[in-house]
Amino acid sequence: MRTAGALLVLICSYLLGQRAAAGRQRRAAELEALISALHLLETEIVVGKRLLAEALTGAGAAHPECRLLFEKAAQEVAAGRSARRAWEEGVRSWQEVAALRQEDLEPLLRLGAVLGLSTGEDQARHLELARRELSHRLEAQRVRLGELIRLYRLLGVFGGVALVLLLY
Amino acid sequence: MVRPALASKSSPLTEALRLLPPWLREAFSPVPESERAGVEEIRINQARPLMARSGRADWFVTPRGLCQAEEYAFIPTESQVLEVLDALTSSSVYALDEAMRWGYLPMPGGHRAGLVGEVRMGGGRVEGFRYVTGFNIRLSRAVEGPGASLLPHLRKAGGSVWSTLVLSPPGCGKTTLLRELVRLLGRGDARAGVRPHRVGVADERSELAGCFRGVPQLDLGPRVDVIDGAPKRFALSMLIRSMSPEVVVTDELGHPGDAEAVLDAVGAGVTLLCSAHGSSVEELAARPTLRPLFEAGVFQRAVVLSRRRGPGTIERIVAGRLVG
Repeated sequence: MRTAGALLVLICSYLLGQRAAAGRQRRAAELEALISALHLLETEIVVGKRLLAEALTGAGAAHPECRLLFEKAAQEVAAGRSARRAWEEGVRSWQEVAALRQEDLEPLLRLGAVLGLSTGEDQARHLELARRELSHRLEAQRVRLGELIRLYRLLGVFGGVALVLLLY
Repeated sequence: MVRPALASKSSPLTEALRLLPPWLREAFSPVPESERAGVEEIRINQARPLMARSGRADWFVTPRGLCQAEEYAFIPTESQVLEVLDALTSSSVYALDEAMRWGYLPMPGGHRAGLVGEVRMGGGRVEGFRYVTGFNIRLSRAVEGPGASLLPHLRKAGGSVWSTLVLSPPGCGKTTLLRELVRLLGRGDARAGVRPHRVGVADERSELAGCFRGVPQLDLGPRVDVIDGAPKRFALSMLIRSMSPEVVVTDELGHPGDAEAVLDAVGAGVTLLCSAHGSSVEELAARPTLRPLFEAGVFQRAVVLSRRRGPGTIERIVAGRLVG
């Protein structure tokens, strides 16, 4: 019985470590998708001159990792909300399910304050700035990604062992 | 999909308010529908009183309705002005660059919002607005003009019409008259002996057709094709090449290049219906930008308008080949 309990603790701890490691991997994937989606949004705005609601829908459709953000914002704009509020609403909805940290969302929120409200050239500059900030975060994440994944996995295993030793 | 505004019982102001932010609807809520019917313009300026123009008078919009007491007037804030811009552009200022360069934004229903604020210049021309701080929303309404009574004077053999120039100082109803003539020509008018025509409208500033996203919002009748937002020299040739119009219509001749575009159209054998700012044929014929049109004898009729008995008063109809 004790052995079974210890084994259960070890498995749970290992899975927690795996989950934390997967979270780090998901953050990198979401950052990457977000950068790509913002690129597409720039094309829709600058080249396509599509209305913001349509441009947001187009940008989100190709990126399932961050589709929720773009779809929600597009829905809100189409419903007559200001672009800023719509974008904030999109970020808020996505934040609930995304692996991104609060600081990852700051460039997005800054972008929301100017989204749609200036010329194509100016929009391109703002979008590029947001992408650049997100790219820096992605680079930093990638450098440490391997280490972090190993760390979380080891923490899961050794945390479980430590807990078993403490309990028994 | 954008559809032309359908006739409804509500006033143009109420219709336009549906397209504007909730704070503006709230500000106008004390104004009864009977008073709304007379409103022709709304002036929204950051940190200045909200105003409405009705019956040739300016009114302040207050919690008590429209009144002359400035101290009670609603004062829009910066964020409220931004909300108006957001609503007028569907949060897509970049998609409306060209119209904004001209200083206006088209709205559904044929209404249009004039813009003020800080302009951004580049290469010697207006590139757009750095800050939009105010709007003058001009409400569109169906106006019965003098077009039907004018048509017999423009008719020529075969149920067609002569090439005609409508001229007047600003605000005398040139655009309204042109729009009415477009409608009458498109449908034809049996009483005036004018058959239906295929009409092409080169609407450089979206005033004739009031297009919103390319769809005319004002009733122009059938058989009418509109090229919206393009300079006359492009729009006229596009219409003639692709839509085979019998009559082409364009507003406000007078810019360099306009005469050349019109002469090209004449060469294609179409009838012209144009307008220009001015108070007499002689004055226009002396203008260097328009002189070539009179030298070539493009127009056979001229209609001079004034505001003497309200906008659209016909002062004179000049018949014969107009030469400078």
